[in-house]
Amino acid sequence: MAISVHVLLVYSLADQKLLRREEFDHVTEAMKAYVQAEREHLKTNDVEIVLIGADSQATIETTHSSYFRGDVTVGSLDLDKLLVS
Amino acid sequence: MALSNNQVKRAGKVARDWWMDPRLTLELTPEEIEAAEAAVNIVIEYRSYFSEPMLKVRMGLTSFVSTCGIEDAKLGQRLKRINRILAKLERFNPKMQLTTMQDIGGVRVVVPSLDALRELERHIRKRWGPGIRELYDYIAEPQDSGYRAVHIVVVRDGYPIEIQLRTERQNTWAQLNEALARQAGAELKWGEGPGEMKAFLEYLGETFAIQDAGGVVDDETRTRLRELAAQVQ
Repeated sequence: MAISVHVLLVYSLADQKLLRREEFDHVTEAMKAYVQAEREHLKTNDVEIVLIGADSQATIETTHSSYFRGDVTVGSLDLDKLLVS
Repeated sequence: MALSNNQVKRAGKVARDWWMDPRLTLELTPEEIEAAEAAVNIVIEYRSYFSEPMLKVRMGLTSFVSTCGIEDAKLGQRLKRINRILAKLERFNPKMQLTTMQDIGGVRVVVPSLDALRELERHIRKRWGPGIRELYDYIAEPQDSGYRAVHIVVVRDGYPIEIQLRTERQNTWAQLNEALARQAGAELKWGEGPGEMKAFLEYLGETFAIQDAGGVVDDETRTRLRELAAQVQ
């Protein structure tokens, strides 16, 4: 298992989609990019910004899957699929 | 030089007040802008102190997962976003200070089953017992929203790190809750949002809990879930 990959996600709340998905190998670079993105949106609520560290991008897509769902509504859910044991 | 406790506390308050201030930057005095920028910089610096302890906790948990023989566990970490920190300080003002916030650094562990979760929880308690500051069992007592998980706050190198243990179903529920909250523009976890959506999510959480406990979802439950889903606009 790799030690770390850092992924910066910027998610548009208006469009309900990812605007940015950038991977960093080094935490210092990742933190710099995270803080810069945050500063650009400090007092606005138009985007979600998150920096996630994990062993792989695939892990992040599970632990923080809400950012990868896109436009989701209760009506669009496949309940039978959701309840598969 | 490390920041003092008082510096951090004060900066948290100044940054929070600036964040809540409805005035535009143009309407602020140069002194107010300078004070706000200095405060935000301190909050950012303070948050960075959690980076290494958080990584150590994740690495420790990775090792625990292996020791417990849990396959397919997923571990992710994150430092809380600055404006989320300020929003939380405002929400729990005056009780919460920046220095008492426990989830600035967080590690999430998603495991396949409830048995695996409880096994990992036991192992954490056994190995990190004295370093555990808080333990919230939201499986035994789910939050009003229906959120289920076990949260353990451990202190590493003097900094609290929040561990979230979730089964795959609990994580599916939480991620769905977050996605729907964004869609609805509401903080569902803080009790906001349309009642129909909250009722659906609460019932879905209960249904997942039945499955996690080894139960089977009957037709009546499925029908009820569909009815609740249909009521959400």
